Amino acid sequence: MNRLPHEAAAFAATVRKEWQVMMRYWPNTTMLLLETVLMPLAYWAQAMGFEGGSASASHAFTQRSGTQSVAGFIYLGWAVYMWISTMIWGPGMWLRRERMQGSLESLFLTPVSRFTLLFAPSVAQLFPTALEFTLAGLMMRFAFGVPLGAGQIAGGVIVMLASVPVLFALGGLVGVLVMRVRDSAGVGAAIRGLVAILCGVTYPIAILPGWVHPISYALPVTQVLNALRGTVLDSPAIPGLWSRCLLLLALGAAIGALAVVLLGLTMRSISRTGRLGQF
Amino acid sequence: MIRATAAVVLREWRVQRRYPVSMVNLAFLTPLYQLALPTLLLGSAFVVGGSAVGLSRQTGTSDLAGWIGAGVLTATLLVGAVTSVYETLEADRQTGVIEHSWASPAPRQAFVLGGVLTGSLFGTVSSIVLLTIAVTLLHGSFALPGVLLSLPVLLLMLAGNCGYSYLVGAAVLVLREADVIVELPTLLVMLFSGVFFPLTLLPAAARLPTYILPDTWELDLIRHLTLATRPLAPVAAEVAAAVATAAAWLAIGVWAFLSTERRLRAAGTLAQF
Repeated sequence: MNRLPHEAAAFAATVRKEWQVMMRYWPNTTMLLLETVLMPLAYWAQAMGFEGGSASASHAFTQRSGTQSVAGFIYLGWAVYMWISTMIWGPGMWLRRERMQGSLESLFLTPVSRFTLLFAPSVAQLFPTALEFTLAGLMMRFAFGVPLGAGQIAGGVIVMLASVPVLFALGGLVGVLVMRVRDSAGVGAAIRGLVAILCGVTYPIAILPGWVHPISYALPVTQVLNALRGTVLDSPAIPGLWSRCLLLLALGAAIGALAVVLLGLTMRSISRTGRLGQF
Repeated sequence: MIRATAAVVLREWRVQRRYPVSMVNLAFLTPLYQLALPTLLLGSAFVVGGSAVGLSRQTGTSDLAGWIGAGVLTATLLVGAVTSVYETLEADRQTGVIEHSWASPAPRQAFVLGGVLTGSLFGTVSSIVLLTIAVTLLHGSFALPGVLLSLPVLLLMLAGNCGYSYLVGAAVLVLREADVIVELPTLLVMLFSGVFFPLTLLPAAARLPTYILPDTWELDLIRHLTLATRPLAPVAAEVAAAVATAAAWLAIGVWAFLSTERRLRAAGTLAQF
């Protein structure tokens, strides 16, 4: 029997369910959008306070970040940070929520694949993510006068599309991880914090101690940030665009496959010990 | 009232101990990675030859770690109090015990006060650790007489935070999904208190709303006393403003919370979420 149509139906039903939940609590999405505008504004004001109108301080930032656009640097960093946060707290906690609501055991009695369970909830989150990046772009262009031409925008969209698999995979990996620990909120927040510190969300990685650099550059979120900043804030015809996108796609495939395998192992372990419904 | 408040604090401590990662995260890691480190590292990106020349021009001090440390202290105390009150009331409602708790003769204010004290205790411990790091590793320097003079200012800050937390408590009781409504104003209060950036950056008209926030005056006083920054107003006027705004927020907060509680009791919707 061809399972593909059934799997596609299950995938679509999961996306629709997540969409309905998201619409039911629409103020949360509104809050995310406000945060996308306000927090970078706060960091920008902070940067202006630290710059204090000093040309030498401004030059020091340019040297360390590779761009003169403080606002562009911060807004793009924060938009990616919001995306990864959405993936951690949304799809990353999805299986955990099903567990708490008592529906996880029923869910696993259905023949739905692990792929659908891990990645379908992430699809609905693409809507707020697209809005967040649009808002960030509007703020950069119209509030701060960052020069965004068609080339930069197209390059940015290509990088975002290439980043989708890796962000989905990270959400899935967090989802598997929190199945094993009781204190999932703490773990989620800690992961979010590590991303904020190590990936250069609001400041250039050059500021971090030298021994942290290899760790920072090895993280997929840093790759996404660097590709996006390099494409949107630098020349639109950036030579490394396609190779960066290929790297992101490869990372997404590898981490996604790992998440699927780990979910299988975790579910087998939990089923054996009868802890499927415990949290 | 005191015994009931102490009982709430004890209960919250036990709850937090059950979730150690969350506790460490709430008390220490969140202020570290959401505020202290990003701010410090962003500030470091503008440092020239080891000196924060831009900050010095803007505020009167080049002590980046000290300036950020005072802001982190203020933010940690505010967020600790607000988060604790929000989570205390929300958890009671979601686990179905709020009606039982409120059927006891304990004053309603004890649930908010207990939350404020728990959050402030966690915030204080976290701030002490972060400020110690700022002094020992990052060469932040606070004047000792200024630190001692700041203690009564911190008590005023606690009173102002308490008033704000009563308002949060009222919002949690009235609204089904209050986290959005709570988070955004709290963020705005932090933004416009000068935690993130010097308020002198704002245009004069935009600076006016910041004057009704107790934290604006208290944080500015603490920075002036400990780091010798330029104050927003003469010190005597700042002290008067800090006392007046903290008292006003406390009075408005208590009134809003008690009147909300009376309304919900009459409507019978206390436990709905």
